[in-house]
Amino acid sequence: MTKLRILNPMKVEIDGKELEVKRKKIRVERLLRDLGINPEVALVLKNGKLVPEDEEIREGDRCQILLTVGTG
Amino acid sequence: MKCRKCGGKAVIRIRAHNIALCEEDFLDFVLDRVQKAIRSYHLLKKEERVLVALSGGKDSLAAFDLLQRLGYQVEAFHIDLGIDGFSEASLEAVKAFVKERGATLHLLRVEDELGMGVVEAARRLRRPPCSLCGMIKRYLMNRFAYERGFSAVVTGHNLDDEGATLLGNLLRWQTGYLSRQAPLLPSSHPRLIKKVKPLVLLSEREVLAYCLLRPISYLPDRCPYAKGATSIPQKEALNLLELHSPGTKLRFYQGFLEARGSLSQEEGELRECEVCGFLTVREKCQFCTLKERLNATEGRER
Repeated sequence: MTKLRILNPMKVEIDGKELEVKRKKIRVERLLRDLGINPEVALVLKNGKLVPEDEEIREGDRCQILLTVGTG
Repeated sequence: MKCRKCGGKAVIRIRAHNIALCEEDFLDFVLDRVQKAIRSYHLLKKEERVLVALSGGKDSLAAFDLLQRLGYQVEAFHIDLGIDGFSEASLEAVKAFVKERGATLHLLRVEDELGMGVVEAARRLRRPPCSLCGMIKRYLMNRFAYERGFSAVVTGHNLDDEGATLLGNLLRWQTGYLSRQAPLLPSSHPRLIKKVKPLVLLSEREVLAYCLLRPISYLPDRCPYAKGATSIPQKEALNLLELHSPGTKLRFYQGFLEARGSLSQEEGELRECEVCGFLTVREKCQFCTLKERLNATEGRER
């Protein structure tokens, strides 16, 4: 298993709440899985732009996860 | 990931349709889904005057935007429910949206109708606000549309909303509700304006992506009283199934619409309310009954 060295934890914002992910880089698909988020109810923005699940998020990127359930 | 249509950089993957799309093609995809719903379920005609109920949330604003892009004659309608903080923010979002589009906004306040907002009415009757809210909105939308000569009322219900409602009705075997659940509730009486849901073939995630890309500034807040709503776990359950078997929500809902014709109509005979004249299955409609009951609490509250 590849271990990633943590320099600065990546900051991820989920519905306005911020949390840290201890990774240097991670694919959106993996990030959602690690956070236990169903991709069917989430959209991910990287530096303010909508990105698909194969996109890689790196340290220094601004990552926002928007959840859909219950909004309307 | 590449766009299935143009080969450019995709911004979204839609597993239910096994495609990934770039921004431009996704915006067209959403428009196509709405056109397909309108065509398949005979929702609207171009010459109709359409009233779109706007809450300020993503779905209703997207519905208005899409119908406007398709060339329908749309006007906006908003009900101020009188929910502290939330209603002010909703109205602000709606006003900003219609101003940007140069659209006409019709505004009703529950307080003007009942002498108090939904929350206060619910408190007086010792009922949860949600149990009154839906009925009040349906009544006011229909009455306003009728009085102003609109032929259709549009709401922003999406596939997740409809799927969750369907699942809830099935879990409780509410066959009466099942027989009435549809993207088109036709007008069966001059005082009953047809209700139309043009977003039923779009998932909540697709509508949210549409708002982000278009872009449409919507109110992201949830109604403070929606917390604990039964529709939320029902949506989560359907999305879990969707994750394991993409396309489940569409098959569930569209399959139901095909089978729906065989369900018996359990609706009682409609008659005119003895107070307001709008339709009900009782002597007095629920809205007028509510007003009476609230009037009866007046003395006790003083």
